[in-house]
Amino acid sequence: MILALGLSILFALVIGIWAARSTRAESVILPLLDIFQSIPVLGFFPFVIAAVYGAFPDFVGANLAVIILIFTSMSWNIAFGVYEAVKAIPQDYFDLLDVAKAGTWQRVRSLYIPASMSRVAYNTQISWSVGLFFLVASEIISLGTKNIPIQYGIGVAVEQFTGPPFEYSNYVLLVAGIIAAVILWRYLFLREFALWSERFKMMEEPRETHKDPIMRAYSWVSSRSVSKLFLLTQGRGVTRFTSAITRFGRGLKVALAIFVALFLGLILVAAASSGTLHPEALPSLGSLAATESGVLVALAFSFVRVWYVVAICIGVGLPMGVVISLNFKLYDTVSPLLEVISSIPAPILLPLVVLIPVIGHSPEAVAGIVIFLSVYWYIVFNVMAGVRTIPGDLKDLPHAFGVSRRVAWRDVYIPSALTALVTGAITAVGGAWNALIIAEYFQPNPARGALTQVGIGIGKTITLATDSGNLETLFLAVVSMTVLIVAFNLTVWRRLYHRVTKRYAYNH
Amino acid sequence: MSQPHPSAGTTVVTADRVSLGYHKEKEPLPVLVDVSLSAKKDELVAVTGPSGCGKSTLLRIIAGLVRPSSGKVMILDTEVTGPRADVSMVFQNFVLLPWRTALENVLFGLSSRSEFTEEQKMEKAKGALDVAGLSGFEDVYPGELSGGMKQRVGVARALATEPRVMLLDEPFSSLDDLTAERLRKETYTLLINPQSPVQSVILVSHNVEEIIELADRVVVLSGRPAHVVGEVDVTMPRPRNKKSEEFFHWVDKVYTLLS
Amino acid sequence: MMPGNVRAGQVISLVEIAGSIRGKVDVPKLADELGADIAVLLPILDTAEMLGLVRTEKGDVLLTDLGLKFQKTTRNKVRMLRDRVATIEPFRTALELASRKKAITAQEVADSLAEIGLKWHYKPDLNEALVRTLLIHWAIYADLLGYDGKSGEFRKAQSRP
Repeated sequence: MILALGLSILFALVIGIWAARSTRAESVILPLLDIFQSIPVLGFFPFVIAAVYGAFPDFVGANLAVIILIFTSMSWNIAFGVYEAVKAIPQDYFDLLDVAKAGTWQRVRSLYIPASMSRVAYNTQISWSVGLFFLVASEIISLGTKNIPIQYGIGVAVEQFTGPPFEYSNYVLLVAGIIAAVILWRYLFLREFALWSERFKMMEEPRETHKDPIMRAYSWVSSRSVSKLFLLTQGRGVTRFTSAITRFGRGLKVALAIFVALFLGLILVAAASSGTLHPEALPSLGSLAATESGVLVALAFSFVRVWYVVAICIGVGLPMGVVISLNFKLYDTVSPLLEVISSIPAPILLPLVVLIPVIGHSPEAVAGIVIFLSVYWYIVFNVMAGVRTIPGDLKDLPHAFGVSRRVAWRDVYIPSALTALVTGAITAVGGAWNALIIAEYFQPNPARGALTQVGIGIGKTITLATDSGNLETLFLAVVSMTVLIVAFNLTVWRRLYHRVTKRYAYNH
Repeated sequence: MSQPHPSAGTTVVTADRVSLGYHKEKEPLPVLVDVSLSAKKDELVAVTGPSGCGKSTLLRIIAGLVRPSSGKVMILDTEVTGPRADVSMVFQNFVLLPWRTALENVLFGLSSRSEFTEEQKMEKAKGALDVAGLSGFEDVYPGELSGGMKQRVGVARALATEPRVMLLDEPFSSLDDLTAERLRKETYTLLINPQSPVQSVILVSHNVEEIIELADRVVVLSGRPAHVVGEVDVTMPRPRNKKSEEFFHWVDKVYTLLS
Repeated sequence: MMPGNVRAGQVISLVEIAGSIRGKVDVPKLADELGADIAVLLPILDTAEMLGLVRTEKGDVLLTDLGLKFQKTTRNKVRMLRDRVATIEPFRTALELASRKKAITAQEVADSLAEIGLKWHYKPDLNEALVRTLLIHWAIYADLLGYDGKSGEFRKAQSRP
């Protein structure tokens, strides 16, 4: 894990600096980063295993595969941070180095790396949570596939403790252990790292609203990395990206829009048929999903699943985030708690969710809860960070003019959280697609069968195809899922994001 | 709106030995100690002091946004216990809602006034924008306005509610010198004139020249916790020439108290 | 063609200060009085000259008759300059477009000006932004155009009294 983190940072520094300093590299790297960031990493994992394990058919290969996966899950985010940081260096510094006739390496060492440090630190904290999720997930998957010996790891532990016979004491011990490890790691290492990197800050950083590094990390991401990237439409990287896309052809955009529209239609049909066909028809649909032609149907089901869960997350997370952030005392007590809860990788909790009476027996509900637990935090933390970055005077405004609660929420609180909410939702949807793969068909040990499985879904299709070695279906499933996600990002999200940041970003 | 107009010389705002303290890790942390001030009808009273001394907090206590630990604030003969309709505020960083147009921002300030119909509110909001020099800009979003114009919207929003007391919190300090200069003059004539509903203005500022240009009286806060270290009645006649000998004399007087 | 970064308020301040110093004033003194850099002052001066408010003679700045009248007006000063502003780009083209079409966008104005070689910035999106700013800050004050921020469209002004 630490190895992967180190690799990610290294990769991010190289790519980020490169993109920021070379216009040509920028126009290629930025869109690529954007796409890679939105691809469900887990879907590709079986291929990675196959490839790496083929090359090193032992313990080394399996571990390497896991490291690659975690690396993939973490590095984009950090690379964006580096890119942004280097872009933000005032021109004077470059002039200074020009005058000093500094060589490339000297530039990198004396300017680019120090300038990126504080953002690398912030983004690392987020990447860490993400990475932890994948760590658990990947170790489980790699076991599920071919019983590849990783030997040590959290994921392995989860597998051993959760398969029947289920032992509470072991399980509780495990979860407690993970929480303790998470807290220790965060406070002993990440926090120190963040504090240490403070020294490298350039002057025009925004006023910090809170001392907590984790919150700052979230706030940083919500207010900067993505939003600023889009906001920088005036001439900087993304303009090039967007204009490149426009140039690349409005045709492509139209095609994507049609694709999304067709897909939404398909979902409606799928939803309607599942409703009319009733449960007894579902198994046949389910078995259909395991075949090539069924992939799209499965995708449609999963699409609906992703969206209803994210909608619930927003419904709960938006008011919760706003209320917590508006109240200092509440914020100070609740946020560390949320932080710890949020860093527990959701798959670990799956065996516990199954035990909940009634709900535990409905695979659909279990899947929903697991996805919820995986992505809810993106929404809450983003909203919290968004609300906290609004200036104190703006919070006073509704009181100063004595407006009603309803008007205050409608005109002030919700709009000020909106940018952050959209950022959070984009991340949440991305996370939800990943979580699907675990949530739809959870099978800690192939010999014992699935612990939970939904009727039909792309995650299930992928897992089943992986198990049965049906590479064709696996490939089809992963590719169609990726195309859908990327298409959706380019059409719906981008437009939404643009609109929201244009009007709802608060900068006086 | 018909308000009982007090005659000249009536005290409109009184802060009577106002103190404020927080508790930080069980230790009491006083911010303001026994601060008193008063503003009569048609007076502009300025509060100044080193940055972070609590002058903006004092303004928020007068606005009813912050409750003092002891002491009280009176407006005419009622005590301030919370935000009230006859007090309005202009903020340093404008604090406009970027997702609302200029007109909608002014209407926001009026939204709690159930005594007016929607048409009346609209009329008042448009009128306020007009006197603030922004007619024609009703449907423009704040992001498309310059700093000076944004603050004009801020002034219009405060003025539209027809307040008895207007509180100005460093209203010109985020503007460039030229813009600030013009807006200062205009704001004064806008607020203090026979037609204006505003009876008293309290201005918080760290800019001593600005204070001498505008204020009838200056209250100087200093120290930790902040207390009143002196009061200056600026009796210089208006309009005040900023280049005159006399002007420097008044500026000097305030600086002496500050240091 | 009006400089893209000059606001009406700056011109008002310039005329005020030039007027308050009786007689001629040279450019460095004016910059000093305004508390502005010469580099900032020059485009403001250009604009004021373009609008017929000041004249420069051998480095000295003088108020014209119109300038004196402008200085004395207390409200809606720019309204006085309505006809002048209408002859200067980008307002001329904008008005022309607005009389042909009901609603126009800053992009349309910027595009048709670019066709005759008038640009404020070489990047199209920044150029458009500068045109929009100019239109908002001058044409509304001068009561030539109205602007709806929701649709981003300009229309010919319904003349205000």
